[in-house]
Amino acid sequence: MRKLLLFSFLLLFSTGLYAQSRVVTGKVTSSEDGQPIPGVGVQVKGTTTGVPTDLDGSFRIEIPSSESVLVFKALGMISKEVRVGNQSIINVVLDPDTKTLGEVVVVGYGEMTKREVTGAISSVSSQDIKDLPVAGVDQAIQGRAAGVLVSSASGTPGGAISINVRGTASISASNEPLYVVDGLPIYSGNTSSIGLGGQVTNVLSQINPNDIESIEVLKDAASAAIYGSRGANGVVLITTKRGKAGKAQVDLSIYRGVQEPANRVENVTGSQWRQLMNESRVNDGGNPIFTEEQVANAPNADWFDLIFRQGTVEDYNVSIRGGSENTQFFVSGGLFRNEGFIKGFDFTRYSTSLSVDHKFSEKVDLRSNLRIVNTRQNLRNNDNNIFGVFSAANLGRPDFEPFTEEGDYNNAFSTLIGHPLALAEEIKNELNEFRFQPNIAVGYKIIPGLRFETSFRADIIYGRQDTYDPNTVRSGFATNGTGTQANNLFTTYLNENVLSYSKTFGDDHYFDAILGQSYQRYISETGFVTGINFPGPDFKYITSAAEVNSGSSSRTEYALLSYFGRANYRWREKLLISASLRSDGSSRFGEENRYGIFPAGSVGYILSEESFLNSSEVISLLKGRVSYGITGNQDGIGNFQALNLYSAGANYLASPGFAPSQLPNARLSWEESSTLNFGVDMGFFNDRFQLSAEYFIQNTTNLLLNKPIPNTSGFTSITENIGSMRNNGLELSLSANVLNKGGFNWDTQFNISFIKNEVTSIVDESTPINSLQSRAAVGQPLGAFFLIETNGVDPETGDLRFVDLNNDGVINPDDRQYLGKPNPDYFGGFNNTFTYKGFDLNVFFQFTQGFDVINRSAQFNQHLGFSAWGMSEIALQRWQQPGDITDIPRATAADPNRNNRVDSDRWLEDGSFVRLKNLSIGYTLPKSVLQSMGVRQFRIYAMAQNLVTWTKYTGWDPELNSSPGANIARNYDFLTFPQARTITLGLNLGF
Amino acid sequence: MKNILSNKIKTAFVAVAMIGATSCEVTDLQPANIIPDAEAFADANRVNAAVLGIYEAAQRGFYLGAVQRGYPFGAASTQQGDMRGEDMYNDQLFYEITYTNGQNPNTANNNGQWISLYRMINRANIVIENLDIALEAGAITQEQRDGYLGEALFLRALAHHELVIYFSRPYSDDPSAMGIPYRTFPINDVSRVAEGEAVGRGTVQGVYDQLLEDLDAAEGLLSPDGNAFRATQGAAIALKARIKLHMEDWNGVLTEYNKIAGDYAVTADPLEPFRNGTSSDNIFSFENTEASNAGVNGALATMYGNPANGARGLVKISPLIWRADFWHPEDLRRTDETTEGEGMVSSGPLGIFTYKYTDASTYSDPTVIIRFSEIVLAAAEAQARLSPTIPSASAITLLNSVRDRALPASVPSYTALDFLNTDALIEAIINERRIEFLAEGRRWPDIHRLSGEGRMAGIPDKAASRSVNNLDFYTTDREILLDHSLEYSDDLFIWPIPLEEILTNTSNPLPQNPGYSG
Repeated sequence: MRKLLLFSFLLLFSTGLYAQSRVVTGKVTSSEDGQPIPGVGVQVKGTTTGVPTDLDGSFRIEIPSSESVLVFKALGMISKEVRVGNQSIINVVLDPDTKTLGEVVVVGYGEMTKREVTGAISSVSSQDIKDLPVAGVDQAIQGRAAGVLVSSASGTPGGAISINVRGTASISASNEPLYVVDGLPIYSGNTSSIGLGGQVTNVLSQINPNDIESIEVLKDAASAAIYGSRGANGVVLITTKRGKAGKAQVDLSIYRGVQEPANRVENVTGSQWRQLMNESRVNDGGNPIFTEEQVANAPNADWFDLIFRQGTVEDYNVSIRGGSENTQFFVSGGLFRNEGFIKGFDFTRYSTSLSVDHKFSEKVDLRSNLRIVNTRQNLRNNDNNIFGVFSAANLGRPDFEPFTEEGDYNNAFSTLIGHPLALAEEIKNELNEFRFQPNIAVGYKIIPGLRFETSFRADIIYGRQDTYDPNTVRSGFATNGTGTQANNLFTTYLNENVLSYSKTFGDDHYFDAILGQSYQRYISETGFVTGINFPGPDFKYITSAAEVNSGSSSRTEYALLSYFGRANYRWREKLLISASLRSDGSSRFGEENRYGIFPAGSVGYILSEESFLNSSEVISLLKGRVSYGITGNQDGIGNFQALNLYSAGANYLASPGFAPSQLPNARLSWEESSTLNFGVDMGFFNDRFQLSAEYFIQNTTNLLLNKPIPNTSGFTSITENIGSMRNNGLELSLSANVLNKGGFNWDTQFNISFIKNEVTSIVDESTPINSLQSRAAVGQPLGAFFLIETNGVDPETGDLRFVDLNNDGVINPDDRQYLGKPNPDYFGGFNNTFTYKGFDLNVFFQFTQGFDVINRSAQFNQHLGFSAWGMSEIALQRWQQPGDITDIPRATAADPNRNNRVDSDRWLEDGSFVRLKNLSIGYTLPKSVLQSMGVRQFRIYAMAQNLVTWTKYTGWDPELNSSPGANIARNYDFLTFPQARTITLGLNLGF
Repeated sequence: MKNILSNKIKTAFVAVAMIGATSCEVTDLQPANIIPDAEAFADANRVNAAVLGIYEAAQRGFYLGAVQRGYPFGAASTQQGDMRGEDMYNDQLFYEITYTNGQNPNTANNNGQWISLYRMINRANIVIENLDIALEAGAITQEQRDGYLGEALFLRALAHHELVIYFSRPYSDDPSAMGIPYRTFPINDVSRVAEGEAVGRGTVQGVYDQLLEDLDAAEGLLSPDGNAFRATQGAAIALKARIKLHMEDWNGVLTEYNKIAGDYAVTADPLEPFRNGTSSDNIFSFENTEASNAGVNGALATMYGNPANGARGLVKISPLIWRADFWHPEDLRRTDETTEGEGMVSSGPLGIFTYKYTDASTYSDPTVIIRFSEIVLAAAEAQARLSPTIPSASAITLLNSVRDRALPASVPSYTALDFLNTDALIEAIINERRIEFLAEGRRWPDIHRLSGEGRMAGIPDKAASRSVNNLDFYTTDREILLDHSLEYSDDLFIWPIPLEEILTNTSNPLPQNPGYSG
């Protein structure tokens, strides 16, 4: 933008020098929507004569002769040259530039063209994620950015998504990137104050994807270091739509669709279940539990059928953008609703967004926007929770009728878990949240090239949660009904003051810089009250509780005061040099390390500008770049962890007492990553084929770990900056216009990333950190699975053959070894868009390969008599008699061989998968038809998400994590809400 | 023009810089629910709260990494003391390791006691370090400071003595044996951890010297007023008497006894000290409440109580002492509440339980730490020891003052004629201690000091763990399976230093007790 302005100025000054010449007028419009384009540079080729187009796209220029050629240039559009000849009116239609290298890329505290970028940044535009039937933008970028691994923790509507930018870099702190929306680092944690099992909420779903203009992922330190102590996991910059000068445009989009589980793994029938139970007893030398008649006539409850329904997803969105030269606006309203395919779960979002930009004078301007979002969710216990709906269906015994003859829940308490349908329908858990994101920035141009901007931004989430477990379900039975009401207020304030400067020296030297200061404060205020003993299931609020038995409130906060600066230097469009520095002071850091310094630098060289290449027909771009920088992660430090604190509650004699709750550590500081990045960007045949390759090495040190200390100190451990980890990897992105002939166009994008992770040091190398069957161990990737190896089922005995690693004659935990890892060998996406006349077809594959999953559900529902849970159909493939060759051991209740032991690789599976993530077909009415109707755009389409998944994984879905947020124990499938397959029909209408 | 420009630029830079001028304050946030160090001792209420925090640490501490089960003094000290001895009998896993001498440097029962005691000691040391600061700041008066300091010193000594009788050889054998680290400064910052690591085990003599120093100081600082639930001057004196008994300083025991003999009295009803906790016999106890207690898996009433009363019945009175001929069948301390309505024991089909503790639902029985009866019997023993040739008459009088109240009038008091020699008198006093303090955790300290002097050979035979499953073990002469005795010379006689303690001390690891690996 800045460049454009500068350019316009130059053009303005140079007009009117050639008085003898004649005048040409005309209008510039866009081929995309037929709308006029203001601000297009119209220049007489080979001269400095030029003018910008005005608001309605028209221009008037004097040309020296008929031989003159006019060049039309605009940001984001393909430049066009027109020979004037004898024309006096020249109307030009510009095509949007789909080539990314010309695109504007948003960076921290600024923007630049892709050509100038010297760091590693992935961009996803609104076009790429348009109309995807997902609640949040994080799901939408899955598979679309190299090096960015996006995985849904489960299929829960509005549920958590995990994003790892270039692997995992922390053992105890978050591995999620920093999300910055229009300059504001937002709160992105869980907001449900009531435990839901492994499931957590996802506040990114509170941003309407329709309002998003672009998403940039800052991956290397050179791009992310401007966010200092929060940049180590990468930064996701989300830029929302703003007004645009010109006639107001109204856009309407609607889609509606249905959802079902992307895959089903059935359980056995009642008869089969009883037969398996009998077999286990007989195999153990005992008597069958059920008579033959009981087996044959067993009732059969298909719990999955009972809890599933046809899920629905719908989205209605309207937006208007327009404005004059001095004032532009964008306003939108949206409704998104997703009723999950499991009863009880839904997610609804009402959103509105308003943006107003105004120029008071040449010197003073204002940019403002306000988003207000209300989300209402019905949540249920789920994932890794025995009171979960899907859990109960998975583990419920099939051999009884689901309902009594009176229609009541049958046997609601007969199993440990409860009646699946009752858990879905009787429990109430409503989360109702409002989110406000106001944003005001005022700019002042001090002198040409030097600008000062001050901004005030906030992110305020108010949430209210009501839960009620009636006495008709197990979780509320003991208390005769439990109701909880929770209120949360999460507030983030930000004030930033930035000076920016840019200047061109001579013909060859361009320089720009920013210098800024930032103050951010986050406050969390939470509280809840619980009541028990309700008159009956119909009384759901605490007012009816006989006893208000529990309640609490608390508050915590942190603040950051930062200074930052960046300078870019460019020489002859060839050499690019950039350096940045941020200093972060955080209330979380210990007194001795209150301020962290995060420098970064990068260099790029555009070889294709050299004389020996710039006329090449084949190579249109060849750029090399190197960057190095330091970023931090301060998430692992509790808000007041460095201080010597006394907490209340150490009561004695019914009087309040307090006691030291932690040992202060004045040296406590951020985790620190240093990243070296090499990149090459290549364009061929006028950028029709483009290839980018990145190689990076990231070393993270000062990992926060608990170090045990002598107990005579009165404490057991202290948190210190001790560990270290390394990630290195290669990322390739390819995009091509494969075919463009006879109206047929085929564009393709492909990206693939190979990332290797290794823990390089922990507190004590000989004592790996264990979490479930996963470990943080030196020399292993984080979360490596440590298990006893199995060598198939013995055809003679039907028992598993465990590998006696140390040959001591017994199988015990000493025989464990590293047998798998949660992070993939490689992952990526493959996108193809075909257009022909008005038709468009999009086929998008996403793949994640070479990672393992612990199928913990299988340990429960392939028990083969060991317990009394329901059983998966996989159990039918068990060993039955000598000579049987199978992977599934025999049925046994006694299990003397411990086939069911938790720490064997029987439960470890390859999770590799390829998904047809997205398939859509659309039709756009031709302009000729539309114009007569006064319509700018009309497109209808059908879209399918998660249509096909190719995987060897035997569970419901390999993309999951029953405990999101866990860094070590990752990829455990424990009764996880499966992913949805979604089919939608949609309409885009523009006026 | 140039001037104006540069002025504008200057203004802009100044504006940016100004906004950050208050940098120190903005990142110096203070937490809302928790108070930082500097404010913890800022007024009298807070200082009092910090002192209560030491008591709370005594009530509840770490067991297997979680704060639970009444370590060290919420119940564990009592249960450990009984389970190392033979007079209470174990039926379950909870204290089986202690009962069967199965401890090693990794077992939870002994390790839990270690860390919980040091956690309590550290809280005491933090208070001690801050009291003078609070006094200088005017937050508390000199009188308040003295009282709090006395309490902290008393609690510190109590905890260290508990450590030294479990983890070190007895003073009565060899005062130069390895002691336990005596912590006299707090670890209240990561930077002091190393300083803490440097404190070695020292000698048993050194530990006892410091114990007496702490208690002498506490005696001078504490007020004689107050009930048993917070340390008083009487508590400091009584603890000194106990410690001097371990040191075989017989005159010292008498000196301490004489200081408090007028202030306390043995109750006429032996049950009374267990029913309101504030009788004339109760010198010091930790109070447990519904809100703060050892929980269902630790509380005295649940662990020791009769299942018929809603308790778990994991530990019973041993049939060995129940059938011992020195325990008179008509002794009031055998009164069965199931037949008499109230009493000190409770019988059921599985055996006989103590009924000193009754609240198996909210776990609010206090943990009785020191009673005057103990000091009376300590004085009796001291008198007897000081008169090796003739059984001491005053010792007999003191013994009778405890014994007679529990016996019917028909049973005569002891006279000199009952004792062949002083040894027999000492034996009677020790047996009286076993009866009077049954289920109060006092048996191990006696085994410890008496084995050290050679009077006992070590831990005597116990009823084999989990072998007593019928009341007839008590009421008939059914054979009791014996096991778990231990020679004094056996390395298992004292507990090992936790392995974790040794491994985590990188600069100056504590030497392990002999016989334990690691």
